[in-house]
Amino acid sequence: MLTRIGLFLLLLQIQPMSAAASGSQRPEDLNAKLQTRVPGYQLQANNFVEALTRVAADFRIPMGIEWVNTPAAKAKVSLSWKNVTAWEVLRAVVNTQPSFKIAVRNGIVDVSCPDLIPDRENPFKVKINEFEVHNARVESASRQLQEIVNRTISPPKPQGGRGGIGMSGFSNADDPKISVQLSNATVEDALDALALASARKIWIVTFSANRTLTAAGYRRTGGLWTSRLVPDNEQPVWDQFHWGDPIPEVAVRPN
Amino acid sequence: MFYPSSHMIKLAGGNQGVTVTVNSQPSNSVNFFVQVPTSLSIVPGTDSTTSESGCSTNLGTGCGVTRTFTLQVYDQETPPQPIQAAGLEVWDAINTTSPNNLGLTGYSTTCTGTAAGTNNGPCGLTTTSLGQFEESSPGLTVCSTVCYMNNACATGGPTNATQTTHVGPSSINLQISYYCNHVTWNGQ
Repeated sequence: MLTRIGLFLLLLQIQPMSAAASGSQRPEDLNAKLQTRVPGYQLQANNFVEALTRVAADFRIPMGIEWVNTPAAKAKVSLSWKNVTAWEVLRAVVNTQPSFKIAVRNGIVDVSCPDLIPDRENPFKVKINEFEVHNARVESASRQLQEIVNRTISPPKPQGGRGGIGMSGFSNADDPKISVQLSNATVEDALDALALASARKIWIVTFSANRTLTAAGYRRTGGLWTSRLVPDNEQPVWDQFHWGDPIPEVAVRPN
Repeated sequence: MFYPSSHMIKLAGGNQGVTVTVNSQPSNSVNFFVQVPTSLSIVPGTDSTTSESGCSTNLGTGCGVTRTFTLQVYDQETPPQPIQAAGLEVWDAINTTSPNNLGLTGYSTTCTGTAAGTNNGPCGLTTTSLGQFEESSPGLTVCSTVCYMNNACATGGPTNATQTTHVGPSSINLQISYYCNHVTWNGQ
């Protein structure tokens, strides 16, 4: 009960920041949030990723996470602090995992593991020439980005004959439509831009613990909604969440 | 009202009784109604289709259209009642039936580009608090080289397909007909 009261009081203190967090935000907004000091904070989560997303939601911090699906990252997290800032909380959570680093990039908090995923094997370091969406739902923008990255790292083979494709795609009618325009940016930059512009403020890349590379020479990725192995010709993939969305346990359940 | 989701214990639809037992003493039974997603309907005023225009596929230049709309989830009652519940997971799968006059060789669906993949799910899409979701990313779209003749867009079709829309615990089958210059959904 005391924990619940503590969290309630904390949320009351954080609440005034929520309005400033929707849509694009300036770097100073993020810095202000990261330096927000609270009298106490308790964090209990089923795994590393859930812990990070919970802090992101509580403090309304946009975040990109690139993690490796290892047993260590699936361990439960139980931490508490007194008189602490959001940045100190995040740093402490990241320090529970060897090889993970935290930084601020493009106005969002970036958690990654460069020692585990070298840049040359990371498809999210790849530069894309152009990425442009106008007045689109974030799901549509994300799909366009995935098609561009997929085509960049494994170009489709030309086919003969006549025919075509059909498409469908659902989206959340409550989310705002967004416009994003980027040139010569990395995939990480593009995902950061989508997080800043949309209501899906958290993007997560789940790298396979298996070090075998795709035919194009990149580490394989998977998702949090399924334990399905994603074929090379569909790589890479990611997940995007709103603040407060539950993190599915399919892919991050303990071994 | 009670809305079963895919994460909850599955209950039969319709009126259900519930009792609470405390210290071996059962309470009186209280009825509640379990709504099961059973049908979908286009929300009036949300339906639009682009003009037929050029597009590209792995097979070359084609033509096609995109139709977008918002869908409302309805229950099993007669007449059907809207299920105004947020958080029902939605995704879809599309499979060609016949004829296939536009020569469609594949589909991308709601979870294409995610780990779930084409014709699979879920992938994080849910209904709004009104029990609605949009067919808008990109919407029902067709692009076929069959629709591109003599350097211009042409008419043609249909390619018929079944769209299985997953809403929470339910799967709802709908018929789609793709034409070069329009798409029909469930006969509309």
